[in-house]
Amino acid sequence: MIRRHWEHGYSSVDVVMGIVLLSLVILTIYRVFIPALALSRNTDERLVRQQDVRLAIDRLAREFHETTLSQNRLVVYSAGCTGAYQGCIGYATARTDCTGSFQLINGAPNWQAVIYVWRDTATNELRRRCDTTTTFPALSWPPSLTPHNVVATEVIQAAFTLVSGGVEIRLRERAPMSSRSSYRYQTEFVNQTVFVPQNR
Amino acid sequence: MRAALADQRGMSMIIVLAVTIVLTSLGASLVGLMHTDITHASIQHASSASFFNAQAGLSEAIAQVFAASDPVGYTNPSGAAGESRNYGQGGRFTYWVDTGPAAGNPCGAGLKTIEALGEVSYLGRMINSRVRACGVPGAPFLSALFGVSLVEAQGATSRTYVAPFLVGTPGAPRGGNIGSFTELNFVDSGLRLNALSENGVDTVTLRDGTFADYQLFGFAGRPIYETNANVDPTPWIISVFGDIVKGQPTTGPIPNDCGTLYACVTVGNRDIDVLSIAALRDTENVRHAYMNAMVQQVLPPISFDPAAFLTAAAGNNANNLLNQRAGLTITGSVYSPTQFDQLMTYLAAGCPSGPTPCVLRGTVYLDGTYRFSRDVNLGGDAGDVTLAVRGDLVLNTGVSVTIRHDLTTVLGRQTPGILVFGLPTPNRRASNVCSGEQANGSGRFILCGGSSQRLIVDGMVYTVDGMSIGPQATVDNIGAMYHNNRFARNPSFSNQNATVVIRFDPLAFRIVGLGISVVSWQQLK
Repeated sequence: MIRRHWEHGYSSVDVVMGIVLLSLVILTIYRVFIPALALSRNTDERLVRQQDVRLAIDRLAREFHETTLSQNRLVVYSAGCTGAYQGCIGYATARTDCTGSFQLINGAPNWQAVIYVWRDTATNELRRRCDTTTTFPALSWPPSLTPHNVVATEVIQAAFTLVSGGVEIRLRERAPMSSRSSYRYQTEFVNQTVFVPQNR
Repeated sequence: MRAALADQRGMSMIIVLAVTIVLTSLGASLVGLMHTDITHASIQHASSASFFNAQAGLSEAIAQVFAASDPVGYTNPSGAAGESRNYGQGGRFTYWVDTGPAAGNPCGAGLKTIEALGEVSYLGRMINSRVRACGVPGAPFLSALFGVSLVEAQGATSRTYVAPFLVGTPGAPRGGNIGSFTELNFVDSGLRLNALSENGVDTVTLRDGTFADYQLFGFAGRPIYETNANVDPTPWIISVFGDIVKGQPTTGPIPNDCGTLYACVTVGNRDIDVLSIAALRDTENVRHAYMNAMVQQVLPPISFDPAAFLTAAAGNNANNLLNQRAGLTITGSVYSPTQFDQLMTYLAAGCPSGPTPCVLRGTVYLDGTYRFSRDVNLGGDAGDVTLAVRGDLVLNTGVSVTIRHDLTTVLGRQTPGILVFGLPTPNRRASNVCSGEQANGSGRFILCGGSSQRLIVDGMVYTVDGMSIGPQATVDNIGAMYHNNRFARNPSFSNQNATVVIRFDPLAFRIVGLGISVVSWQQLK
């Protein structure tokens, strides 16, 4: 077909072909860009969760190292630690108000308070409570748990286990976006370690 | 057509470029995120590595103190600069013993402060951790009561408390350990060991007054705990007590009736090793015995050389005036049993011809077996007497002896109280002493008993062949007890319906002069 010099514009065929080509391009971009964006957000969230798990363990590390395995000074609760609670533990600390200076008596730890750590199943928070009214963990769970602070979030599983000579801690965190069924990437992160209390 | 084909204009290059830019930026950001993740993980790893480097430094420092010829006086050679050593991959540790950041007795008087810094280099930074331990120098291990052979308690009125000397919050520190290389026997189910006011307030009468027994462990009020072992064999209260140590000497196991490599815990006349506190209290029905746990340990045997104390006593002229006033012509503080008896008579009478105060001083060496037949206070309420006996030592029925030290000082706390070494060659035949106890100069310390008998002694109580405490006697010891064994038939320690209160002071073990025992650990950073 010969285009005459006085005929400007595009024919409908041209338009349709252009639209089809544009659609192909947009579709290509969508298939590449959107998942890439999701991957980026996922990676960022993974990073946050991995760091959160590590930091949670770090925050508890010193306390576990400084406590004692002496009978009934460190208690892992099973009975009562159900429903709203999971992974419940109580242990003595010699630090004033649980974070202050380490108190000694004749060179030995002078226990000052009890720390409770547990996972709140409703909020998926790992919580920590400092009880300065006693130096012996409660006999049963739950003790008085307020006020408390949050050690980690998005914790979907927490477990404390007494092993030979130490305490095994296992935390599982989940990225919040993992609630979508279309989410295909790694969504849960586990950090597990054993702490050996150093005091008698 | 040719004109149309020659006109090669279009948008595809732009689109390709745009997509390439988008993909490249996405890839770069992903790489960046991964790098950040790896960096964070590496920092975490470096932080953990620095902690373990610090622990390694602490262990090295403890090993150095242990190996030192004088653990009490040892400090790290480089002083405040500390001892540094490369450790691990790209890391190092530095430790100080009573120098640098560990100087100034942060652990307390008489204790050793050991501090270690662990470092790991990462991305041009030094990531570090710092830990500190407190230890008792000169003590290879710590035990309030230890017997090489049998340690036993018997009788329904037998009471033993093994409490800490200085007390902070309730149960801090824990009470002392009791142990043996051979056997710990609970003869009767009715005996009491750390049974704190189970069914009402029980009291003990000590040198400084009468107290509720729970006050020994820092409780202001009577602690309420489950006393029925069938309901709870390990009530919460046991966390304030020490451990039962089933020991094995470093020289090899000592045979026992249980046939175990470590000492065994038995009940009654059964030769079956009880494996746990729960089993002791519940299964074996020794329901008034409370200790934290049973542990097995390999420990070095301890002994003292009588010659060292003989030398010290011979050179101790602080008692010359007292000797003279008592009618003795000797100088120094080495006595025969007859001379010592003359001196005790004079002391018991209150030193009518002086001196004032009417007390002995320093190391006193008694060359032979001696029986106290009258109440005496050898050194006053803040003395420094060490009584070394080269024979047996006996307190007749109802007789009280006091040997107290100045417990406000480290020297006072580490000065030994009574050391019974026995005769160089014990007599072939033993003679009856009292309450069925026999002695032949092997080095036994025997309290015959009686409601008015009271032994108040500070520091280490050491015997070569065991200690026996008769019915109704009271023993008030601030320090520790270590009882050896010379002849297999003699128990190292026997509480027969008596009241024994040991307020364990770890500094009493400093005189052993070997090694170091860590009593606390903390993470400074």
